Amino acid sequence: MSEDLLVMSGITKIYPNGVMANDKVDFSIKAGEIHALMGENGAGKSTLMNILFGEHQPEEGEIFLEGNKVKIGSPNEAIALGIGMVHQHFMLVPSLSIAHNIYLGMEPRKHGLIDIRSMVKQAEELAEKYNFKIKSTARVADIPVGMKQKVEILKALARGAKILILDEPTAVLTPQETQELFHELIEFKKKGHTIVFISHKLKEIKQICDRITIMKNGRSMGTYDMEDMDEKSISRLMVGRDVIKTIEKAKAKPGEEIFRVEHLSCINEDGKHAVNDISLSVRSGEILGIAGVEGNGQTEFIESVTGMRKDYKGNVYMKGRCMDKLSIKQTRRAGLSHISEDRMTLGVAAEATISDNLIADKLGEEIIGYGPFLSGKKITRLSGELIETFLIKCSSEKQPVSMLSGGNMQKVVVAREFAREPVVMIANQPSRGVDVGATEFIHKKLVQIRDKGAAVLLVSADLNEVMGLSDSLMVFYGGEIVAYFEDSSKVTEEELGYYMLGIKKQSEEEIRRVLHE
Amino acid sequence: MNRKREAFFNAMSVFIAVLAALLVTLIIIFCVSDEPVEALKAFITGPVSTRRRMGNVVEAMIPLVFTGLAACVMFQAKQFSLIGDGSFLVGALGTAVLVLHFDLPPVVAPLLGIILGGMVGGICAVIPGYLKAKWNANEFVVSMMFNSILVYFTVYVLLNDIRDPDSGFLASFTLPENAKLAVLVSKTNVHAGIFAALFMVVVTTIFMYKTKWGYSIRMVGINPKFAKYSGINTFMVMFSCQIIGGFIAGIGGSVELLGMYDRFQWQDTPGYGFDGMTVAILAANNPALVPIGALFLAYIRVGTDVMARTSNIPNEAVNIIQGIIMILITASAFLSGIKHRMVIHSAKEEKKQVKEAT
Repeated sequence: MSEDLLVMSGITKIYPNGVMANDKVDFSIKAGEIHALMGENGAGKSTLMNILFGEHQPEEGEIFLEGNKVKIGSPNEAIALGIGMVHQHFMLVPSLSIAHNIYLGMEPRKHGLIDIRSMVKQAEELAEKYNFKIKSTARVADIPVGMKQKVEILKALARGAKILILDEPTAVLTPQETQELFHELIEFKKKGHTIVFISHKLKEIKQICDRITIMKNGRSMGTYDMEDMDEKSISRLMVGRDVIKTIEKAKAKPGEEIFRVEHLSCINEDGKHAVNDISLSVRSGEILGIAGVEGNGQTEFIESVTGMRKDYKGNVYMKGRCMDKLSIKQTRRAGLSHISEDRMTLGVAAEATISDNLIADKLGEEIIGYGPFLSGKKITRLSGELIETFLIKCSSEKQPVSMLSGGNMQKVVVAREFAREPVVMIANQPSRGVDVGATEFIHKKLVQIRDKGAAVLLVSADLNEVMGLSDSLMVFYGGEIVAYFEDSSKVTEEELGYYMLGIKKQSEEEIRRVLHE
Repeated sequence: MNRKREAFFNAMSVFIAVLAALLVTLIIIFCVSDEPVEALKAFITGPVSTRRRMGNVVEAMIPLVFTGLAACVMFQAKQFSLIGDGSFLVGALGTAVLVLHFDLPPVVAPLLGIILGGMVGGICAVIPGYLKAKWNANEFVVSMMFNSILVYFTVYVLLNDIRDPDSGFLASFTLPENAKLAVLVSKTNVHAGIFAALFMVVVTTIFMYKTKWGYSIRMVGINPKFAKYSGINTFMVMFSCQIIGGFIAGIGGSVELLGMYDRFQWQDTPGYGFDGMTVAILAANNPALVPIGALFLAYIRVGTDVMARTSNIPNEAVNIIQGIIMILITASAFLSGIKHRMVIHSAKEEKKQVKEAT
């Protein structure tokens, strides 16, 4: 193979909210290859590619193109260097024609006006060159998704892109469209283009990629030749364990059923069937884990059962009471606690103080003040107790949450959600972005309320967590439950990996056991 | 990030903005005046040179306190509504209609008038508030357009209901003496409305920081998704905060009318709603600081007024200063570069600590 065409070295990116999305990442691609960039959501793949495309500026690190150091300050500069990117969410003007979208901002002109005829001609020549079948006068609003993606690719090619970055291109495509895209990508490769392909679908990557770089938690886990890798080794690098540590807990003593979901389906904002006919039941004194690669319906499912989302079909019951029509406030008062996966957007009000964050769900209660008033004394006392019990490191309860570390911020969330003895605890990625000490603490607390008789539903993409903490375990794939294991300690990591990546699926009967009927 | 540093940054950006605005004023004075030193002296010391002028500052401050408080409540919920401007006008109109139609005894007349003014002001905000909360219609645009409806409604009522045909200009009948607010200091127009203003400052501060409702408003402003997730009724909060803002502004309109005027004569909004936004920005949306912001604005108002009368500098200079303050403070990004570097620094520190711990 030839020399490295492009090298990114030591890239570090910190977002204004303090999240370190890339931590000294090295990445390189060779001319004329299809290079896969793999990793879970939040692993930092998109951030890395956005830096390459000039949309973000890294805090540290250098980029070399053909051996020369370059600085990419904006997408325009990236395009000038021959780098093109197709985003996951298309950036097209729906009311304009295909041809106009391709040449937007660089339209051929005649007497100062846009020369539509030659623009259409150019677009058709371009499409022909790459064997794309498009009708370049059609309005973008009227064409299907697969076609829109082609327009995006042509847009990049028309601007002279030699390196093409595709951000999860197959996420919106049908299997047939996907195959068509792959043929086209292989054509590009023959014509000398280099492609970076972001995805977390293993099969696809195996099919067309030459090399693969795997990312995890903002760091690169290394670059490998595709032929040396099998599905197992990739999945191990992608979701595998960091530190082996055991979570101490006694055997569960499940009691009566407390939380029940029946035939829940919902359609997300992109119009996709995100959750498809899910039924489950959680008993008192048990932790039911949901494993799975992120983006397989976990978010939408949790939003539905916690009352955040109301447009679902199906029913949710708590202790036999139907929860579908209740407001979030009523749901919470009924004893449902919810640790959200998205700490910064849902979990905390970052600019508010710690005590403000601790009382948000207790407004109707006298524990923070009588009638319409807040009692400073009561709030201070309550906050002090929670800070002490949950070991939140802070200078005082009046400190803004934004000044705490990720782990302490999460402890604030956990403290609030545990403060009223929960009947049902929904913990969604409870230890994401949290240091080891805080993680252990949160795990201990979850086991504690389980032993007190709460029903715990745990969602985690971290295998270590979900396997160690859960009593029984299920796997989400494509918005469905594909596996249920009565005893999570009897499952191996490898086996779980097959279900998580959609390679295996259990039978109806096996899955239905989760209802304990 | 250190809390003291954060507060320091916020205070600094307001201070720098005010300083820059005054600097520009200085440049303007030196450019257009033949006797710049005299003009500057009039501008700076003018407002405190006589008892009357000091009175003028306080009189100008009273309506600004009300609209400033109104803007604080709405800004705290991140609702950038201009309804205060319309509510101020219609609140005053409501009071005028009441005291002209009913012959009320002293004390009762101003009290009822002010309460009614507040209620009318609140009602004005129902439509923009509902449209925002229910359909996410931009409150800025809706309230601005709605204000022009309120202006013509006011003119209609003025012409058809309370107009005094014997008056030489378009105005209502003379307001009854019973309804007028007492003048407190002789040789000035400083009226009892100052107590109402300070009372409202206390009430609003308690409301925002010591009640559950005020807490909900603040949380919705800081992070609406968090508020919703925690079970706060974000619809009611968004809907109500504009109504509360309208209520406070409406009271301000009544107080201004009963304290300063003999007849209702506004045919357009007097613009205090916009001034209130400046005051709220100066006070960093904290109701307790509103009197200071209002005092500052009133002071430079009177200062430029004195300057305009004693030198050849136009009164419009004050509008320029105000505009510059607004632009500079709202463009808070001008210190964000330094802020970002500090965030990076603390993120790295944290990472280091975590590594050491493991």
